[in-house]
Amino acid sequence: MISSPDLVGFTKETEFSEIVIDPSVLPEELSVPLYPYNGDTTPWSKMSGANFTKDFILLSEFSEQVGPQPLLTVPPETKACGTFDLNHFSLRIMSVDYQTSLTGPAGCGSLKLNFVEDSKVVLGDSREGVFAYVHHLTLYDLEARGFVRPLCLAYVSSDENKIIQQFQQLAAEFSKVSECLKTGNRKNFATELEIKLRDLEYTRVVLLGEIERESNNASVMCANERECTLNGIPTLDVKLKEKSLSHKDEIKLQGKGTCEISRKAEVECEKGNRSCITYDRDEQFGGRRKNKQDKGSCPTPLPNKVDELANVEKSIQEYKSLLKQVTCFRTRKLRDSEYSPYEPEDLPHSFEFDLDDLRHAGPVLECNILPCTDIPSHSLKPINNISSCRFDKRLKTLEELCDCYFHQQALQQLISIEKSFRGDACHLYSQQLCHDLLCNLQSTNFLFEDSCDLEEEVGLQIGIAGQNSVRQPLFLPAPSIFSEPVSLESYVSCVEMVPIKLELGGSSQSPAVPSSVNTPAKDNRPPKSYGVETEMENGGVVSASDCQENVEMCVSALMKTSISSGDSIEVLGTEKSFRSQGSNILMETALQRPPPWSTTTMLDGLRQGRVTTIRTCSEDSIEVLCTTESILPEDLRASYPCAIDEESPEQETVEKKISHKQEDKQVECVYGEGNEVTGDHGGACMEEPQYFYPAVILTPPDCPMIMTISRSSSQDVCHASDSIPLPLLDEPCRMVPDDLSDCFSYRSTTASTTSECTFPTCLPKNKRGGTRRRHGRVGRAALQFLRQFPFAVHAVFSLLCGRTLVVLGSEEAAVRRMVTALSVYMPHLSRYRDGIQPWTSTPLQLSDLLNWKLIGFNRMCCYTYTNMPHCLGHHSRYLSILDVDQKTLRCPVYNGTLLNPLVESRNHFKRGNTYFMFAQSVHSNLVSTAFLLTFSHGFHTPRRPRESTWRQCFHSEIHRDDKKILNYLSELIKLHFMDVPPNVLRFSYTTNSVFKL
Amino acid sequence: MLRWILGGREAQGTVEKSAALFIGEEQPKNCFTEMQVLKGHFDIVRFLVQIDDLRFASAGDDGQVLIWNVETGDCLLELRGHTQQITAMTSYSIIRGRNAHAALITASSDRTLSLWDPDSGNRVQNISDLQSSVKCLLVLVRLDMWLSGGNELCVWNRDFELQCKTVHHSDAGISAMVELPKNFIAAAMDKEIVIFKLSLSGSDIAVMAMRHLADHQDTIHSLISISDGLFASGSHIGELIIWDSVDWTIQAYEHILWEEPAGDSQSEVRLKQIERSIQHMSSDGEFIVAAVGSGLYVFNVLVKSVVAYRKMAHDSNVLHTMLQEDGRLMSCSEDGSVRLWELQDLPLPAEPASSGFFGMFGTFGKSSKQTGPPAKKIPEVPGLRSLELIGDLIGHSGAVQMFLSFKEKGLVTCSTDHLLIIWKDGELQSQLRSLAVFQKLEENQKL
Repeated sequence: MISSPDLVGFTKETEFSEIVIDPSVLPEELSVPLYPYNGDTTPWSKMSGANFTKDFILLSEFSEQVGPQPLLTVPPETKACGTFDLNHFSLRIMSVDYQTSLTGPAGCGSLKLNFVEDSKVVLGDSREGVFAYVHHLTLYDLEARGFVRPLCLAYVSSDENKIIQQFQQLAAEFSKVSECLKTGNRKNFATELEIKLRDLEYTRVVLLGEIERESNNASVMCANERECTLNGIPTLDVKLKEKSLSHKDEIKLQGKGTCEISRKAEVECEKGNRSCITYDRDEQFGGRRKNKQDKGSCPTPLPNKVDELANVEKSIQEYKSLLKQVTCFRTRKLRDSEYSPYEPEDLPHSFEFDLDDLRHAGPVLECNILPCTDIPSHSLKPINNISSCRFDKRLKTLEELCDCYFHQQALQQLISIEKSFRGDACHLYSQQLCHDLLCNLQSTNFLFEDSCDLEEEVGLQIGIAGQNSVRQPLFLPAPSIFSEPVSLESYVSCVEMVPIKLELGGSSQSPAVPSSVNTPAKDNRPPKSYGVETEMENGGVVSASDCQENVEMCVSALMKTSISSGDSIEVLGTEKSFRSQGSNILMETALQRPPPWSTTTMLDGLRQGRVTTIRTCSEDSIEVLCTTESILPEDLRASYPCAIDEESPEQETVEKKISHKQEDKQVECVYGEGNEVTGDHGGACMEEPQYFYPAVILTPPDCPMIMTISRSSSQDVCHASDSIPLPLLDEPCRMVPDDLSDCFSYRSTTASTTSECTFPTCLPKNKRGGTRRRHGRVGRAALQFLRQFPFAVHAVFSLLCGRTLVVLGSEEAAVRRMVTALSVYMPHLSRYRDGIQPWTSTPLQLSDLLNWKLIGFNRMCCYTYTNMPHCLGHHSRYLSILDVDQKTLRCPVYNGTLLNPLVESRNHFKRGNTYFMFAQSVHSNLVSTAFLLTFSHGFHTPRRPRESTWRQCFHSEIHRDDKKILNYLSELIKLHFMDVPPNVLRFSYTTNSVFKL
Repeated sequence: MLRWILGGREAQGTVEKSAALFIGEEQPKNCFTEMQVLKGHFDIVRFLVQIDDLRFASAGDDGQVLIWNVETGDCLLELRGHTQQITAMTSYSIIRGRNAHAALITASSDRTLSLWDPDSGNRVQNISDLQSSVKCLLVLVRLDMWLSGGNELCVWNRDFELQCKTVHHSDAGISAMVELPKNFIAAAMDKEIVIFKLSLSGSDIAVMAMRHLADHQDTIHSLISISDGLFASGSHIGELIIWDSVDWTIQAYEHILWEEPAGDSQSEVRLKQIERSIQHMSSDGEFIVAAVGSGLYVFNVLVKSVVAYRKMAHDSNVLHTMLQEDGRLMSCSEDGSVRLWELQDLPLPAEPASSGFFGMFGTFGKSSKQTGPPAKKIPEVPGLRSLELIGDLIGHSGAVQMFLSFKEKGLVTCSTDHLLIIWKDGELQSQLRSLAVFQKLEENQKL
């Protein structure tokens, strides 16, 4: 039991004051923080005790009948959770009852809906080694207790660092899901309310009629009447049937009436108090309501119909108020901040509800009305006064609650979230870091990065929204209510006439002409593109403001309440930390372009994580590892004076040491591979365990062995190599354990070269593992190439100075392999053209040289086997030719120095992936120099008397050949910057040399 | 590890067998280090005409005329209308009000003449009932008239109205025309040059043949104007005659014989193979460059003597030549290359230029004998200079029909391989791109 959760400061105040701004330091969006791992081992070495194989998403519900129960997991339970006890875990995460704190003034007599903000916390179970980001949300259900169904989404991982690092991203993504569910739920809830209201109205009409008749029949009939009511509903029903014929038209109109009423109601609501209406959702309220209803409709004989009528009217008012609250929810939120809820795009126009965020009032209503008028099977029935026992009722499923469309959307999103957060914390961290940095280098990042890598993240975000657009919503038929004029007149007598007011925008109230009711869609329809365009932004804004509000709520929840549960729970983090900089804009940008931000998050989170491990944690106790509140030291001080003291000075020094150590380690990471070529198998295999990920993904046809290896844990890899059949071990030097997965795909490439070695020009996105695997393959091929040809540097030079390199050969597989190898060094011509033609047999045209910078050429396409094909001879001035069959290379000689690291390091690398990364780093070095060359102003105005030092340096110190490389890259950058397709062939008149092996 | 560096020279045997000259891959004086390939034609491209500083038109056997931007390489317009190959094209500046308006006149084998507006792409005028196809066009700017030469000579005004025409010339049509002073026109018809006189009396315009100059022994391929006082003609067998423009007398007569005067039996055999037809001439008023067979011949009209020559300047017939201001000249040939030449003074007149002098360029096998003769000839003519190859542009896979220079903006070549190539100074272009980049930065307020 937590009476006051332990809060731990992320940072100390001194750290803020000590920051000295170094003018030479990189801008924040380009600086790379060191990996802040905790402990003295490598970040991924920590083995978790959790008994599930990979991270998963859990959706569970606090059912009022059975308590917390898991609803679904992504990926499906059998795949992810293993022996993990979902029930128990749901119990734990659901027992953080975040809503309790929000008890508002409950005594105002009418039903109040509680628009509870989602809470986002990190919970941990240190005994089981399970940590989770938990996102609580509530959905509304008319039949549920207090009208609410508490749910929670949890991202469950065994790595707490991962959770803490990714907290912002997780929160953002889950907010989208939550918003999606809630949108659908509000729609369904409003529909439900509509139906209920119609029934109540009907009851009222019936009662009115009875009272009228009663007064006509005078007191004589009174006794009979009472008898009737004593007999209860059946009699009433009979009477209703009698009446229903005469009232048929009126009843039909009721739909319209309701519409008007609710419009009015909404307008009133707009005028009136718009503050968040809260009510306690505990038993007391439910009981009171129940009592109220019972009183209004209990089967006990009433003194007269008037009382009953009054009760019905009262409940009508109450339900109207509820409806009003639901429908004006959006308005309220919009007022509060720049809130706009998650909306699926591409909805048909009838669903103005979603497309139209700014002028929501009218459309919202329509939308809500639609379903009830569209269900022909639904017949009006008087309110059943006997409230059935709650525990007999079947509770609505999630799909029923949220509408199947939104439910599907949410599921899709969950699946994609699970995909995007796969992998361990380091991997995600470095990937995000890389991606963020690359995104900031927009003018140069096209050169050597895979375009799919760059767009992956964006694609992911779009993917979430985009997936929604794929399936057409099924739930909304065309609005047919207004096309039934029959029902429009006759019901007027029953319902009070209300001047219709449509509220447009937030503030302006424009009286609606009756005809406008018929065509509200037109009035309020935004431009089609608007809806699509803004979706993304909306997505971002949602969570931003959501977070913002939510943070406060949930922090206050932490402050005010004590959470009671049988087992103790660790509240690892809530999000408050970014309040200091958490303006909406920042939040928003962070979502789309998370750079400087997420890194601070991670830093903080990790530091926090370290603190946790230092603390002694009892087996069963609750640990609040962090509330992110702590970035605001003043706030924190005020409320938790003791929390800051958690970090002792000693710990601080430890921390510093660690960070130093970590720096060293990072340096090692770059060069370490090369130094420990042979020994240290275990260490090597520990270093990059993410390789077991790709191994899992490897397709069985390539090598069935892989499955067995990937199953084995990282510690067992060495052992796994023993289990490899001998025929595969004919190349023992490759069989170092850390190279297992590589090695296997290598074997498979040699086995089925044609299929494997094809350079994937068009890569399917959203395949992180696949990309990494491809990188490994490419890097491996490059290493092989470097080892095979001592004069490889000249070929690399040709590629990097824009000279087309033709790989000439008679065997397609060999040529393709070589092209794959050389593609490492190929700068892309532009973002969408990679300039590689892996295999061609048609004679080269001049224009081909413009498009292709790396060509695999079939020697056999020409009749002369021995000599060079004529077309190559003709263009020989512009070509470098690598003859795979004769092992010759004809190209200009490279005498510079810039490329030497690329080739000289060939013996230092064992693994393709490492070399690929290394090559990338050399490239990025080149690119940054080229960038400087391109954009240094003084450089291009030669008549300036004072040359910049850099220019002098460029002219004097850089070798001619290196200048060629830099100039070529610079030209590409210029063309890219100017958005000009590279349509010129630049060349130079240089002597070619022929190298022979 | 074995590493054989085989040096700069091509080890590949597939290089053209009859390479007369081979310049190394190092070409420091060749500034064309960037090329842009223009696609658009479906057949041989034969004509290039400059419209203004930025635009040029290309036309050829596919009957369409394309207008290009030389800076960007964009195809601006496609002028379609002719059904057969274009036989002649010239630019024509129409003066409307005060503005000179560029226009294009094209003639085609389908016996039509068209006037195009290169701004809109409209076919402004069209004449389709010609008796013969037009082979050459001549614009008389002074008279605001133009002439078309086919089997007969027609005189047109600027509104495409036929003013007058000559009688039908039987077999050989007019292949080339030049304007002479005093409203005279010289037209090359087979072996003779006919001098026509345009008589302008009021509104009536008449044309009549004044004189037939029959000094050429063979078909005249080339007829150019050198200056106000001189014009030149070249024939199929290498006769180069320089005429006085006023009294039509011969000022100089050169019979270019590539063979050695005292030829032995071996060279006589070869003589018949050597093409010496004068395909093209160009002049800057002082020098004439004649494309003689596959060689180049530079003649000084002022001192009436040969300046420099190179018998095997290309591997095949030279089709177009151009003299630049800086003493350089360019030539293009059926062998698909454009070559850049420089007139250089010989080191010392006394020193006999050995065959090694030319051999320096790496002539192969057979050609070493051919380069011998001019070396022997050098001491005979004082002031003889050498024509040095400073660069070549290789890109086209077919004969380069013509080229058009835009000075520093580049050089456009057209070829039988249906392509046009713009050759540009790579460094200059790079600087221009940098400027554009900075301009864009300034516009974006990022600088």
